[in-house]
Amino acid sequence: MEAMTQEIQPGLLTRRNFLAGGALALAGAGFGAWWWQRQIADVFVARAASYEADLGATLAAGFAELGLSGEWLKGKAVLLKPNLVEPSAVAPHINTHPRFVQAVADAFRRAGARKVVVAEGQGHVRDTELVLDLSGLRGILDEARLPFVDLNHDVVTPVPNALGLTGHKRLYLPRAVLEADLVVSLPKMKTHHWVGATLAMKNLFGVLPGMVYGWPKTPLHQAGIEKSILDINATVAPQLAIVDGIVGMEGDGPIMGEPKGMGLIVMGTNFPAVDATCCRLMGIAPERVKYLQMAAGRLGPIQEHWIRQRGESLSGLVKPFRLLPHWEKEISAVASGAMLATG
Amino acid sequence: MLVVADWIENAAKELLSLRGTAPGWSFRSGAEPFSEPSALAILGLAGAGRARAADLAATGKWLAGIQQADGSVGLAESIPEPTWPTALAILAWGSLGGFAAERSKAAGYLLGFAGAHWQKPPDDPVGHDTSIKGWPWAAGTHSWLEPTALALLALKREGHGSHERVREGTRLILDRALPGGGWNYGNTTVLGRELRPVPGPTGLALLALSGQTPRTGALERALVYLSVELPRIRAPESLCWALLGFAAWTARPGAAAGWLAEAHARMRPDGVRALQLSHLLLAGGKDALPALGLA
Repeated sequence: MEAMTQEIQPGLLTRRNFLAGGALALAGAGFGAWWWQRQIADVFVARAASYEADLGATLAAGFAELGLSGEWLKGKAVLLKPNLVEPSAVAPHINTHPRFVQAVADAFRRAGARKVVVAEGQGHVRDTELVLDLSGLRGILDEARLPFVDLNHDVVTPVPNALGLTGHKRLYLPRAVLEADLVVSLPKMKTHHWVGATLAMKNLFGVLPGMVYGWPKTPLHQAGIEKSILDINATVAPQLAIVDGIVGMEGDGPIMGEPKGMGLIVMGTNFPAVDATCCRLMGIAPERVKYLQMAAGRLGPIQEHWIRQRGESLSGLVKPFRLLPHWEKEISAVASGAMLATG
Repeated sequence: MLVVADWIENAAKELLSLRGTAPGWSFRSGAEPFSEPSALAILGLAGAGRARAADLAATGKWLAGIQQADGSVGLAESIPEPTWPTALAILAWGSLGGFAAERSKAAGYLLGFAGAHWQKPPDDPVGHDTSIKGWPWAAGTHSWLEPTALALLALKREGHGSHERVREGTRLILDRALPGGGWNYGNTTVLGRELRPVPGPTGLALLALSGQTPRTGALERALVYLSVELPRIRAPESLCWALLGFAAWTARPGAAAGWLAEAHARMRPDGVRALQLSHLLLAGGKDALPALGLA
């Protein structure tokens, strides 16, 4: 058993080896502690004024600050998972911005990735081509010659559920996810009317195929959204989160909310730590967000003193997101009595 | 300049080539066949009249081969659940003619299969009536718009249009209509906010309601919504269902042939082409509505 205080070593165990054998061997008691529980995690925060800014330089700085060396990235097959849950031409702030996706793809290509694909299994709209059209991503895919994989319609394989909180013994994963060396979550910084906030961890709902779980993915919702978030993250074993916080969504997220200009990018290899940091930036107390409470000690740290802030300090960057009334007292850092992040 | 007949011919050829020597279609070349692309390919090729009956019958037989003892059809031979493709299999078999025993058994399964339903409390955050019984994507879960619409189409095709389950499914679809017009995956309002319509589910709902209900306000609002959206849609699946749903209640727009040709011309090379070609052929064929069991 590893010490509980070791730092993250990217690439300690490859995803494909883990999914091929590790999950089988480690599913159940002790797995979470062995593989996921990290007591110190680095999270990189950077300012990015707009989608037209030099995002490449910011992303390269993030890789360096997180210790993701060129050697680690070189030759990898990378799957980028944006959030395209339900695009609307009149509400571009619903989705991870296409220029953001392109910038991340370019950064991986420059770092020597063997292959970069964009992939999504959106939860509400069955027609993936419509999703690409309405989100504006199609034009970027064409322009950047980026392949796209429809995760809702891919060959699927049942994989043992690494945590099993939902009662689902197996989770069906698309072949594109299983074939990837690196799964990178590219969420939008948004509020969420059911779970408070949707960030790197919740974004992985879109990795599970709709043809198995439906549109919406009701078997996961009915088993408990929070439990599902943990099961999916533990089973998929993603390596990196890069949060589009340039323009987020406040209010009635993840679809019907209003745009919130933050001008930020948040990156990290430990998803609970990344999401906790995003929450602090949003004026949300991560300790009050149920799935982050559950993830703490299972998948990673959420307490500030276990998160090593890289890049910008949080001080001065916090802009509280408007929350729906039923969340205001529940998770607002101010209303719940938690301290706003002060760096 | 590609003439309309050319794209249909090319689409049909490509679709047949994607099956190769396998008994059915998959999402990736070389992978095992799946029921959804196989059933849709049958519907598309049959609706467009672009394949020999014997060629399509082989895939119909493969679908029959993976039909389970209870009449259901799963995702693939190796993935028996969920069983929502059962409705598509009925429609595919129906478009081929024959397969009467399989269709009857599958229809029996659908009539006995329902989603999870409950009386919602007064403070429930969702706007729709959760007590109306329809069809789910997966067993034991709530009913949604698209599986319910597909089940209604399949059951009506098999002569069950007046069955209580079909009448209740019709009520469900009407209940899930968005106040502003059209349908989405099946939520109307959440926490008091009206959600947005989507063209594909709107078209499917209109097809399912065809012959089942008078042209009421919800229908009129949906048709107005589609009349605005249709000229803008070039995504094959959405264009297919929106066009057919619209045509089932009004008339096929004169520009439809051009929209379909454009949609075919702009298909991405790495998309799930079998599904896209099938939808375009179904929408482009003269016999699309009869293939779905509609006059």
